[in-house]
Amino acid sequence: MSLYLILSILGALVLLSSLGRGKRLVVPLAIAGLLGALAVTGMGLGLDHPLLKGMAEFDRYAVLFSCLLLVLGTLVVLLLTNPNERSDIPRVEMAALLLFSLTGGIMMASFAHLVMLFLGVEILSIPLYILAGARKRERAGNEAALKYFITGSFATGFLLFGIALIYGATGSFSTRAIAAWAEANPAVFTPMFHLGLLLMLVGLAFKISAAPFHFWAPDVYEGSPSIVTSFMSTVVKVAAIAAFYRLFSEAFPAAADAWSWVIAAVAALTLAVGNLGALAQRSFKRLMAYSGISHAGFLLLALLSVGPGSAGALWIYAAAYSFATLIAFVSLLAVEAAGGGESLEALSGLGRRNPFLGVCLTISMLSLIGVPPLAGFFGKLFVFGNAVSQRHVVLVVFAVVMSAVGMAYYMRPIIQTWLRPPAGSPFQLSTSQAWVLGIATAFVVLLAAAPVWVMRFL
Amino acid sequence: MDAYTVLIYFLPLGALIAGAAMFTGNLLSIKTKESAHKREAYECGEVIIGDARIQFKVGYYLFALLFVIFDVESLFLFPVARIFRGQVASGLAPHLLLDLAIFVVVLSLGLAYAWRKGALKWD
Repeated sequence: MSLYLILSILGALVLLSSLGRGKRLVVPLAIAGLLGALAVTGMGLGLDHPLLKGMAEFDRYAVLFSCLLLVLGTLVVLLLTNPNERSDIPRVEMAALLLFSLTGGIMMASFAHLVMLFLGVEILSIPLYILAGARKRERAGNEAALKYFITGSFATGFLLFGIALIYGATGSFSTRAIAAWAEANPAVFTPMFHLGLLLMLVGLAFKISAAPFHFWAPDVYEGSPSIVTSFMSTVVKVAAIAAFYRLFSEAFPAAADAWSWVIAAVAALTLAVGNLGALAQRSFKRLMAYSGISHAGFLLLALLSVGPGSAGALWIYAAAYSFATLIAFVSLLAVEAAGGGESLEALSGLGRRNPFLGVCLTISMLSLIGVPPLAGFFGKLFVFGNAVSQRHVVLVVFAVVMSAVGMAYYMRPIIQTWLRPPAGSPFQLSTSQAWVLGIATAFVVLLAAAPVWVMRFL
Repeated sequence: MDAYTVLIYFLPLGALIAGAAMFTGNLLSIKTKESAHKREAYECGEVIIGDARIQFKVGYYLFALLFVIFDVESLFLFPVARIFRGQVASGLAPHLLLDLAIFVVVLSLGLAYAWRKGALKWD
């Protein structure tokens, strides 16, 4: 609970400081607070006592995912300090809203009660509806905010109705009690329970932008300011998949026969839509949106193999994906600040305009493809390995084919970066951008050393 | 299933009450001629004839939003106030008071923020 409190008090402090004269101190304050929260989370390791009368639990899973979310959140807030960024965005309010949203994400990684899951989803989403429209005078921003709000509330409706039906069937909101109920009534088809399961699945599939509930993602990602998009495609995606896995592995393992084929179908469709859709994109931002959809498909594979090692595989995959994606968005921000647009052509000659940025972007794209020895490779290795051990061989073969398709579009930014003539003069990165790039790239490279440790830990 | 069958009785009952209200209203009210004045909005409110997609003042929305702060406040204060006397003996009362104070302060901070940002100016 202390973590929820720290983050929400921090958010309120940041918001209130915008009234006084301390505007310049806001982002440093937020970052110091986030690092403090990270330390608190790290120290809470192994003390997995239930919180709030058993409604939340900081077990190892929750702590590892909270740490990931906090690191990603800190990096995004760090990007807000960039002086090159256009000044028409309300920086202080954005920092506060990002912190509130992060609080929701951490609740989603640590819930043990469906009410906490619902609250987490809402606390994560509502600030983002506002953030998507942070540039309130721009049409695209308004469209993004409205689309995100409407589809998001739609998804919430599904989730809430699902929770209600599960409560009706099992008589409890607690994941433990639901799991016990499902174990006691294994083979019986209960319409209320199974419909509730399906509706919750749909609600969460919306949030991780899995097909066929992905249609909002490209438009919303494109219309939002790039900083907000970087938050959506990293923190939000990680929080949503963490909640998805936590829900299905803790509450519904006994009903796996009922949901595993649905997840398999959704994963296959998501992989196809994400990867084939990305091939047709001309804009780098939309390309990354489709990349996010395709990785949702890979992440769903981890749900199919719930068991020892699968949570570790999910964590490694999520971390590899989100750090690489963050690098891509920092590149986009830097290119935008240097006068370029969002198209792939704006990246041309990036390697000569700013070699450091070019190298980082290349590493990120290679990791997203899954080239060894980068983090993305280990993520795919473990997720695929687990899925094969659960006899989902056909699906894994399909996923491997789809990641080969992925190579076709992830190579395009690399080709633009190194083999095309520069689209402009060389430019400098701001200090904060350089830091974020350095840290994220270090994670993408060094996570390769961590898999064994993470797998043993989770 | 018993608890749900009760719901079915509500359907005719609701129709009956609504119908009775309209019928009595019709019976008791003074009949006036149809006129432009009669079709005007009652007290406050927007003009009811014409295109619905007009621009109306965003201030309405902001005020309604801020009003929700007080709504939520009373929503949570009432139940605690109801049981407060009973908790004095068990020693929980100071605890409850502190919790509520924190709750009210947090909500007031939200209101203070909106106030300072000028959300309460009507012009």
